[in-house]
Amino acid sequence: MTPSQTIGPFFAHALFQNHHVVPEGAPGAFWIRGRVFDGAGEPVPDAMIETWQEEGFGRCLTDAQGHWGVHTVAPAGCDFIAVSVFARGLLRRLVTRIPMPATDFDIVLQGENETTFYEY
Amino acid sequence: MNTDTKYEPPLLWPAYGSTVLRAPKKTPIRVDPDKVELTGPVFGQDTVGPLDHDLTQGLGGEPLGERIIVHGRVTDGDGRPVPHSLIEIWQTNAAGRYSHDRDQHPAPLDPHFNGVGRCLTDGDGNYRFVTIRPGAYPWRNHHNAWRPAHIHFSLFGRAFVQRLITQMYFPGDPLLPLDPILASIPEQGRPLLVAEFDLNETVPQWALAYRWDIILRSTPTQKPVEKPMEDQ
Repeated sequence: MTPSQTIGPFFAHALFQNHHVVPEGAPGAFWIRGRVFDGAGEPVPDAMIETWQEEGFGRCLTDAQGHWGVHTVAPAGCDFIAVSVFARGLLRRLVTRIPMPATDFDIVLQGENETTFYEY
Repeated sequence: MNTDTKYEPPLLWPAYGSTVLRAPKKTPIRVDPDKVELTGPVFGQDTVGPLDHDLTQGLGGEPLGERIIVHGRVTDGDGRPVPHSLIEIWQTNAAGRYSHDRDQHPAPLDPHFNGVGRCLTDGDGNYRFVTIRPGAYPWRNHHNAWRPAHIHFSLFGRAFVQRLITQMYFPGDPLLPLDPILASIPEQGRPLLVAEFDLNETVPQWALAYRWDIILRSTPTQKPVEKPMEDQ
């Protein structure tokens, strides 16, 4: 299989964002928000977070303080939302799952409160 | 996320300094993909403009540099084509500079080139871009560090488990053996990221061509459930 390489630092101008998995006002819609941190506890300002569930796809870039967020609904028939994390310094994507229900989800790449990441 | 250790880079690779504080230290938990992870977003023709595959058009004039064609085929690990799937690319201009406001490399921007393209693979997994050969550029990873010319590729495949972001390199580039990002991949995997010069697809009097085929991981399902995006 074709190996992975880092997304690098310079992608924000190139990749569309889709914060709204569902539109404002959709029944049951809510925001999931969080921040991305590195192993020194510093925010990661150049990460891309993607979410996937049956209801749709979300994608956002972290801001200067590492914030990200998507507007979505709880997935039907599934107890998590699948997440990909890309950033400078990540040679492969990281995969995690946001357990439902949740409205806050920080992603800690490394360290004591490291997020649980998965592989297949 | 992929653990094909023959070909995949490790997460911690100190020669690429940015991995040191960003690579998770715990081993990821191995799971079977859930059924939702065996599906993925499906992007229709409406998400790709008619000129999105041609990075040399749409900005009011001819960009500077060497015009090239980059094409290939996307298949899965079982050799099945990955049809109608979104590919996004981005790259520097011919001078080695990204159209990104944080890129401080003292090389000129090109008002006729932003280095951003998209396309959908066709029914047989084929893709084709027209672009400008990107330039090498310096970075601060170590003394006198230069990235070899490369094109970033983002592929969705047909399922979440197939999602891939990677980089395509050019054959014969003297910077390839010096690049710690490429070197993070075990040696036998590195050629998979280097395109080949393709005389057959070269257009006489117009553009050289490079071929780069991409292999995504296989999925256990033949036909992932298709779900359109809600908005975009």
